[in-house]
Amino acid sequence: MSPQELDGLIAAHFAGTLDAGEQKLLGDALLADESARRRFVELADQEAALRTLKAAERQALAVGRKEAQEAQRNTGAPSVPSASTPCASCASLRQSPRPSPPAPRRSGWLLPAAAAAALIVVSGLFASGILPSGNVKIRDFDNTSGKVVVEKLSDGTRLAIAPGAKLVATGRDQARRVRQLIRLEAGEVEVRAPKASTGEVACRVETPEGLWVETVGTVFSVTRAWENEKGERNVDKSKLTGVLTAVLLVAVSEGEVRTGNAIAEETRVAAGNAPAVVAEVRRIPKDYFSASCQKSPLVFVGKVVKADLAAKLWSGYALITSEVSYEVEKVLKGTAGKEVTIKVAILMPSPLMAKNAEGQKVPALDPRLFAVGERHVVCVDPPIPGQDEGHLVGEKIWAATEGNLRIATEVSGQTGLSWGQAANGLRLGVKLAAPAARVESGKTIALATRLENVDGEKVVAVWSRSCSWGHGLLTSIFTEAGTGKQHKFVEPVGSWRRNVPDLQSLKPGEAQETGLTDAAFGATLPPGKYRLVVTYANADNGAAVMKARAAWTGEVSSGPVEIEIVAPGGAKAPDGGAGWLELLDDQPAYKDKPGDEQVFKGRLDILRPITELDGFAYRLFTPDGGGFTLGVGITEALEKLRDAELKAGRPAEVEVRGKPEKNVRLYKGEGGTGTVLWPGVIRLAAAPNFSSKCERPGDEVVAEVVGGALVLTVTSPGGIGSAEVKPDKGEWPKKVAVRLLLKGLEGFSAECGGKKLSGFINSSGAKGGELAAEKKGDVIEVALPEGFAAGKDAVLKLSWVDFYR
Amino acid sequence: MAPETGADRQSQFLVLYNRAQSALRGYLFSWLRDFHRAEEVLQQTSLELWEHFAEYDAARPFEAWALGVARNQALKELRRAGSAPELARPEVLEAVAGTYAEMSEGLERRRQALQGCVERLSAAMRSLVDLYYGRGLSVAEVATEAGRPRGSVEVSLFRARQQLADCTGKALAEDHA
Repeated sequence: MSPQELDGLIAAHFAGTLDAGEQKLLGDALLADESARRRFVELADQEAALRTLKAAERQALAVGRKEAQEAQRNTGAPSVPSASTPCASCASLRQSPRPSPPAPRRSGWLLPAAAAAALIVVSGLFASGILPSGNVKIRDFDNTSGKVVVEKLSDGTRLAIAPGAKLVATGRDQARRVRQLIRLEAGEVEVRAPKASTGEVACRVETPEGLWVETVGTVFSVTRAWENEKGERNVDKSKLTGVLTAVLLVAVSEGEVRTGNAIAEETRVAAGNAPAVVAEVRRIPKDYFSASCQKSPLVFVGKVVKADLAAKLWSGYALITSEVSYEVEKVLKGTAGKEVTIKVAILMPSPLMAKNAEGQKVPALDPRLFAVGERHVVCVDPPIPGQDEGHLVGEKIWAATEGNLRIATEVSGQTGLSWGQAANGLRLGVKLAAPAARVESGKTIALATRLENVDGEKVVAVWSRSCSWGHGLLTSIFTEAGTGKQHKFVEPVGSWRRNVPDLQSLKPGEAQETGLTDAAFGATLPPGKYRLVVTYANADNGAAVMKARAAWTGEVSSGPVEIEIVAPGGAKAPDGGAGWLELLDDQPAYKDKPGDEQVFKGRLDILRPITELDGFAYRLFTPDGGGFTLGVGITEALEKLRDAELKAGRPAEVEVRGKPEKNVRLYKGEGGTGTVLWPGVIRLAAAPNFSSKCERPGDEVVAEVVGGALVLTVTSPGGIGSAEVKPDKGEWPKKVAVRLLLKGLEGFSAECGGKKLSGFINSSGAKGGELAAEKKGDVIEVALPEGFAAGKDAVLKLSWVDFYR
Repeated sequence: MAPETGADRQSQFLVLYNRAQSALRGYLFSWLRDFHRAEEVLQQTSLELWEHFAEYDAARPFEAWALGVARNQALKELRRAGSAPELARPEVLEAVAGTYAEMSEGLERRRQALQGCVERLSAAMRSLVDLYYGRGLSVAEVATEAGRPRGSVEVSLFRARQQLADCTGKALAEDHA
């Protein structure tokens, strides 16, 4: 095989396009030929390294400490772009009026070292054995003695920790090539770092605000403190009033360090220089924000006093067509009166976008971002003539709280939730997401839940919703009015991104929120009045990881919500029904377009960057991996359609009848062309329907599509049975999961198209077979391999045995 | 021999693991092809390594041992997903793991050089690399963003990878010169 052929096969392997014959060819080559293996390894390692490198770059630019801290845990610490020259436009460093350090070997801020006294050293969370990639917690220090204590770290770095200081020495950070990474949480520490190897940083100290100092080997002191607008400074935030900025004070005794904040370029400080003050950036550095905000003539900190936005935030671009009025608190650039009103706003794509289980980008911005009282830093662009009267650039939207700038992903003030009694530091609230408490039978009931830490002091850790352990813990209990009959539904596992136990730490007042639908709960309720209560329960199943990770265990219930299910036609039908929605159909220009109308199916999504396109706003992604630009701009009806689908946890799968046209100019000014589909009419694609037939009476299989995956819920009072499932309409989704409401699963098999796989969990808990079965409370879940059930008329046969008799 | 105290054992494991982590990630990614999936399996591999660290023979290179564990985890995941059965045979995974272990030092040097090599790509190629690797867009989505035909984007990405491999290879050769 020639090198070019080999490279082509390897490229196709990473693209996922090798057929069986090519797979065998490549496999044989790798087995037989060492040079082929070496080439494969080079290219594979490069692919992984590129992903890691780019992920780290993006996370370094992501605003908000929560995002950065999670990135540090999950993908390796972000790398801060460095520059060779200081940023002249950045007010990142201000000289402190303090005197120079008096002694050459020790900074003037610290007392001479004393023997270790009442120093609390807490071992890291390593006992769990679960290692976050790249950034491992080793030692916590919390100096509650009244003296300076000295500690030597495993790499030879020495710390002189001042009284009241708190820090975490996390050791090597591979991704950033740092030998010793220290997170300074409070107070002052002197660092003596032995010289590092070539290309490595000996020691880096950083704060939660992203302020940092690093060295290749020297002696320096660093203090985390706060400063208000009067220039008053203190290590204890509570002792200051006014708008506070986090600062890092750095003094160098020997050698030289580099310092910076999360987004400004670095500055060097050498021994003999006056101590440096590194502050959170107040001005907008030219490299950080996108072109639009750089040109914003007006930037201010304001509080929302009026907004009428409802649920208009969506996807990567959020279009606000109402008004947002701000009470101006502080003008950072330009001039403004006491109140500013924005009439039309477009939010640019944000690093806050998350990916759902299907890898689709979904909004991470909460509609309550614009609740009255929320504080933002707002960049206002000049009005675009003829289009709007000034728009607000959302990537730059921050919530200013207590003077700390952070991204506005948290919601302040919860209204409308029905709270239950707190238990063990947590309380649970639930409300209907839609305002109406009457829902048509068969239509979706959307709920919002909030699990809040009401312990006044302690952090409570719960399983994160991003991992599979954080699902299946919510049960909705619908109690029929009058009869008292209960219908219980356990939330299935779905929409998680990581199949390893992952915790979310809730500080007092913080909460974990979910949006759920009755589809998620498997609820199918006949008409009637119900009282709904949701419970959150996490039992200690004795697994080592439960003890090690210290997740909250117990049960807590919400307050009640009254809901009435009515017969079809008894409630107002939602917008966007099953019929065609007219777009360009009746327009003469559309009728005059050449060519016949054709029908295309696909996923409707937003185009980006929207402001550079020449009026186009949407893309239709077709199943073959291609797609079309849709020939319309922002359209309210399409926004409603997409919003409704995304809220229901589904991508917006649509059918479009229209006329394709090639070589249409897509961008304003210079730019490429593409094929545009001029849409005459559009509608939601029919959701696939499945039917099931069980062998034993009393057994039941309920099929629901949740987030693009098919979830089959099996109920079997006898514990042994089988069923056949097939699509009545549509095709099998790639992902199929089976939920069995059984106490055990000593035998399970799935068969389709001549393939048969099995799995089990025996009575001692050991698992086996090709299928991985997971027990979560009263539910056992089995995920079938992707594409296992395929083919338009394919029948999936399931059989199960809870316990062999 | 594994150290006596828990803290010493932790420290030793961390030192060894941190050195091997990039190779483990690269190896898992080479089979699983999805970055997030590879990260998840890396987590599972890490757990296995820690739980079985007492069985590790310090006379053997840690990386080779760790790659052996990663190989088993990768096989498990590939079987579960039914992915690429003709390519992902146990003997192929084992052979590649062996090669990974042999090449580990050179690969580390290549990774160090990668950032500089990316910066040397043309602006157009760098932009594609950012879209594909940074924003995680598919080739089709990159083509839309860039306003170029899909085939053209595929070819450009292929060329970018070749150029990067050549550039990092040169950095490695210069070290040895």
